Amino acid sequence: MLSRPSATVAKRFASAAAKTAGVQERTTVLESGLRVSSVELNGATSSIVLAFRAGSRYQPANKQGLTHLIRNSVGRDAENYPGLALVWNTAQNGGQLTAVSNRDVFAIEVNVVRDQSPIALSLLGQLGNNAFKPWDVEDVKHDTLPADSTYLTGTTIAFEQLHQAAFRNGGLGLSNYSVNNISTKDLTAFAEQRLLAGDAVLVGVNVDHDTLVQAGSSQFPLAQGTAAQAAPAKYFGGEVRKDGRGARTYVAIAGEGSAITSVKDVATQAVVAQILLTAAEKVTSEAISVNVNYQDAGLVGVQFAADNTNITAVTKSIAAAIKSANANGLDTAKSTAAIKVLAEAQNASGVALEKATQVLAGVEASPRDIADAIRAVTAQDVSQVGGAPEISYFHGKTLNRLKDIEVN
Amino acid sequence: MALRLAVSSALRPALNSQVRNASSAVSVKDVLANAPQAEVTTLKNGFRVVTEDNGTATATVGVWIETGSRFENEKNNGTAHFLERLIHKGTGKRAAAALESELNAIGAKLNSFTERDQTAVFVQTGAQDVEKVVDILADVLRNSKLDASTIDSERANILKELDASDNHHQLVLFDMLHAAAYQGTPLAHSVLGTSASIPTITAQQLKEWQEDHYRPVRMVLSAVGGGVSNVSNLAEKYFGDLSNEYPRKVPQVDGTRFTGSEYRYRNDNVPHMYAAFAVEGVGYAHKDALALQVANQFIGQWDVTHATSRTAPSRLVQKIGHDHGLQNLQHFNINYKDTGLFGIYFVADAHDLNDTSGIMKSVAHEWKHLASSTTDEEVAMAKNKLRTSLYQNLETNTQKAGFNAKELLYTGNLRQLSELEAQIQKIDAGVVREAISRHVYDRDLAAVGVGRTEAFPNYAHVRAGMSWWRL
Repeated sequence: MLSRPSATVAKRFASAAAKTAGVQERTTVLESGLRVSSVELNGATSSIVLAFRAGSRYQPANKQGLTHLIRNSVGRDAENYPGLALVWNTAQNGGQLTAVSNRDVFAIEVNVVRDQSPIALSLLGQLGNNAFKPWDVEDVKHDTLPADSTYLTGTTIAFEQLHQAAFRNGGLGLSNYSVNNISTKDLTAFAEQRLLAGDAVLVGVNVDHDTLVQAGSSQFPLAQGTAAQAAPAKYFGGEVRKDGRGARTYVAIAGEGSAITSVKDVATQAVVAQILLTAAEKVTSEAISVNVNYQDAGLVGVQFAADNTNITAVTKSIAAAIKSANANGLDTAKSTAAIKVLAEAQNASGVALEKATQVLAGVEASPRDIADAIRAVTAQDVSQVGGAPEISYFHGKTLNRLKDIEVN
Repeated sequence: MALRLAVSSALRPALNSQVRNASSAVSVKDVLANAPQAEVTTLKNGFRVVTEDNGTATATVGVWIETGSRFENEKNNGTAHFLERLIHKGTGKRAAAALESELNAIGAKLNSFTERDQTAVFVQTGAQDVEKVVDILADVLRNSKLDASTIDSERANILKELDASDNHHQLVLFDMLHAAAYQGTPLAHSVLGTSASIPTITAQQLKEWQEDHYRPVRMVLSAVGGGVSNVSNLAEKYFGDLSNEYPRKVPQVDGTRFTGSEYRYRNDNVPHMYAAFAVEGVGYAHKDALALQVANQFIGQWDVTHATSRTAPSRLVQKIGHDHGLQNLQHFNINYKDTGLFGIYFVADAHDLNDTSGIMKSVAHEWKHLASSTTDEEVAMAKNKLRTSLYQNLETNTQKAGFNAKELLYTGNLRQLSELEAQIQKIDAGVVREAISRHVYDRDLAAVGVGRTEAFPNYAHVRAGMSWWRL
């Protein structure tokens, strides 16, 4: 049993704490192996997340898109309850149900007005216990996958291809979206191997910890055991291009980043990402940051889009800008990155997902910890990302080009 | 209905085991009662300040101003937005680059937007830099440089955006909805302005706009976060000397008038039909405003990328999410100070009039049901949905600062969230039925379509369906 009242979080709410006692952050490991984490932000809505170490990196290489199908199957029949009942009752209590996945993690999230969080928990326990009935799987494939691929944006496709370029055939290179011939059997096999209590975490933001523990031990019928570890990620770098119709081209450029396990490296990467973004924003206002940390690897860089006729010039300018970016704007980048982290910590849903990712990766750092680490980043830290300072963020160039296939 | 009851009983075991848990959990009421309270101060010149110190490490500080395109006319349409854009371009004291680098140094950024009835200028910053931000806000709002070359380059940008905005079909649709519903009144104007008005707006007009609109009684300084308890004193220091004299006449909005009408813009190169149907809603402070907000949740939002359709938690979506070529569906309830729009927006393939009419038939059916026979159970669901989304959208300092400012600008009062919660709790099926009967049942509609509108539902037919059950 692991219990960790967090002094840093308590400090964050210093003035609110005078009125509301019990600000805390706690993690408990249940007998089944399920970890249960609560964070109290004193908000009126709760964010409850059931997350598994079952992101797209764990799908068999010839079953790309398996996690996409699992994600879209949330809300279908469980063993003992019809899916309609679960979805409708979630809504009846004001719950907003979402299923998300990235390369590491697959998560089901319910955001609900605080009063109803105990009921939402009991529903989430069933929503996370999908029976993958063959007719449901066929329905999901037929009804939801074509629409998802139609509405994929250029930005998302470029981000997916970026992983392929960076990690090639490794697990992190596998797509979170593309779809192959997945059968009910594949889903069931994957679920049996990966959706296990020992590889899962139940996070509740603005939920009473005891309620969470009680629900976790009695209302989440998860199979016991732990799943196989992921093959370690290996960064290659490279370039992927994909042609498509449309008037705009989407580009993502990134270099190797850090694993989520080191708070110091995550902080340094956040500062580097901010420096690169500032450089890119001088070229185009449409630049956004690439700043992701997985359990054993990361990517840092920028993404942008431009008209087909301009894309070559814009890409060249951005490449030049980020190559020549240096630690001159370090203080600015540090302040901006720190404020970004602290501002995101106001959002219960974001905090819950971040917490779940952290617990599954075996690390615990509050937003305040990360912001403090960001403020402590030095020019030397930044220059050590990838080696030689000037082109460091870029030396493993991962470039990817694709024309817009967005339908709007 | 039978389906719903079957559903509830099927889940009973899961729900019953929860009863003992519920008692130990902290309720929304407790949380909101203990939450930091927003405090309002009014300076001698009428400038209002609202602060809410919640002890977090960041703060959002901004000024919300009662201005916008509803104060404009055909000739100067776009002035309020134009001026707001120029706020970023430097002041007498700080050049544009200096302004940016000064904000960057504290990790902050100047944000702004303009709507039909307000302009907001705000900054998210660390709790320790609140005074600096108030100083910068006062400077950009009071001493904008507005020099000719900046104005011309910004004018070019706006014209370019105006050109590009044609491709944002949803934006065009809602502009057209206002143009139709409020025809002949200032609310019909678009925020961006027109390609005829923008080139004619002069530096003098912009300056006069600033003098006429950025007056203390029309402004609210709203600050939420850590380190904001001193903001009312800072406001006195930086805004206290702002005078309330109007060199010209006091800007006023002419009366509002809703006109049932139809406006279609057919363009078969657009892959879908974008459509909106709305009745006149209510103003922000109207006694039926919350009831309509609850009613707004009944249909909610759905699109084809949602994983549920036949199992969606909405009777309407279950009915029309299939076989009608529907791509996206969103119910909306817009509140201005003195009027509003309540209606449905959808995107559909529109291959066939039967499909599109079927959509509107089902929507009108849902509205008639709300007016005549909605139940407390249904209303409980809508209330819970509303509370979740309402409180979730007021989590961050920026969102809460905007809410506090809007309350003050629109009503002159400020509701704490605990009061809002009490008001929501009072709404029951009877209140919703009455509000919908008053404002929606058998009311004229403004109907607009963009794109493949060949199969746009027939106006007379939809209008009759607002009261005829068999249509």
